[in-house]
Amino acid sequence: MGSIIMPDKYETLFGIIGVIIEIGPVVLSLLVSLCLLLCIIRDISHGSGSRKTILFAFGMACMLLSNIYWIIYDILRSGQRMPFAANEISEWALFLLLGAALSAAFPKKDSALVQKIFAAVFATANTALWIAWSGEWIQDVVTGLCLLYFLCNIAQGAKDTKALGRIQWAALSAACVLSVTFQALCFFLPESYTVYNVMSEPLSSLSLSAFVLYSFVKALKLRFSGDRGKSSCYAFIAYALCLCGMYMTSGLFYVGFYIANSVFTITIYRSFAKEGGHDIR
Amino acid sequence: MIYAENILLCIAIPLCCSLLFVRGDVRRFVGAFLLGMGVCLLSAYISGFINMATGLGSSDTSVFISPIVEELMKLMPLLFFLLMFEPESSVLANIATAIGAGFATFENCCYILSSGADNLSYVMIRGMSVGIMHIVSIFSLAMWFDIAKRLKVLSFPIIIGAMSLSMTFHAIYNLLVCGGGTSAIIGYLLPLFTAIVLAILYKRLQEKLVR
Repeated sequence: MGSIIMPDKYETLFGIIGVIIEIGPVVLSLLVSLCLLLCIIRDISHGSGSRKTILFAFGMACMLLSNIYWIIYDILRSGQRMPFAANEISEWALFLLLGAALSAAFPKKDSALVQKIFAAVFATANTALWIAWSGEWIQDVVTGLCLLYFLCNIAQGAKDTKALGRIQWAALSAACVLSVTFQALCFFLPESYTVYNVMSEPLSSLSLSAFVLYSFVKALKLRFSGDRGKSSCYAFIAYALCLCGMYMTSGLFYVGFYIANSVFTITIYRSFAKEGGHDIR
Repeated sequence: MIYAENILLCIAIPLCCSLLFVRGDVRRFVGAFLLGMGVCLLSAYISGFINMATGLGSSDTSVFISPIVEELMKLMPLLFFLLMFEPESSVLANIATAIGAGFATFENCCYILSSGADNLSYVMIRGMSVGIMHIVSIFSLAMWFDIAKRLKVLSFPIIIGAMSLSMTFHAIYNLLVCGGGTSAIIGYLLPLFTAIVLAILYKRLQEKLVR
């Protein structure tokens, strides 16, 4: 007595919403990767596939299979924690292939040592957080190494194209530092700081999403003004930040970053597609 | 309990002997077939070791770990052959098919000896699903390498990508089959369907090459 009894139809409705929230982003990501893969195959068959587009296509193939695996796992073993599985290797491959696509798009011109060191510190901090949450050392360290390769290539690309000015570099660094700090503080503050423990995830997400949004708008603006190189860099920065946000958060924040990540994959393709120069065919 | 090493010896000796009398592509095929069987035995050892070391349980090991180990072991000889001898597309495809067929044959032999072959429909399902799956996964790997080589993008990320592709395909099959019911039926049909798609794609790729 005294408890709220939910009518059956509402229970079903909430069940459906729950399933949509759980599987929806993965299905969206699957559809995006499938569509992009088909688009790139069409581009290649029309003779407009450059080296970076092909590497990107291979990455999309990995993303597609990883998403299929996730969906099947979610349906067959819903609620069970997934141990180390093959789809994680697909994620590693995706990072490496995207990194390789970036390095094919922007052959190294200037030294970006400072930016790469910062990328290494950020990737290490992320890895440390994953290990602290999951306790899975080996797979988190390997994922961290692949992320590091990806981030270093983004830093190199951003430096080469001069996409980011001093202020933007400072803002990006601040967003990264704040997001990691807000999450890391949870481990050092006592459990009695309940308000902070609840707020750490929104604060961390907010600091990342601010720069993600800026990068997205900038990528679109540059794309329409015809500067595809810089546009690609901003699209990749938004993609990578969303990825880090996804791995750092849970619940609705995770879903938000996941959906944004799928959108930025399209932005990357749009900035890569049919770009002139370095056509290998 | 079966003695897998003894079974391997029994099957391998006549095949090794046949290597003395055949030449060219056939010799290469038989050699790769033998390699596939050896690789299957090694992966069984490694999966068994991981099962014991991690305490995952035999069911979870076969669903999550075996695809990774088996595909990695199948990739090794193919990658060695690709990097050392830089073979033509058709030769690479033959080698890949032979490694996959050898792997599947030895696995099926061991499985049938351990659980019996009295149920024909079960044996047929096993042959049509696992047997084809091992060939499809390594053949797709060879196709991936071939396309990458032709487009001049063969590099470390591409190799990891190819490996992840075959591992995830294998893992999806294992996950579906372990689910039982409808998912198992989908799982059993998946390799056959993929084999048909791959065969069509391979044919189109060859036609494009000729042109």
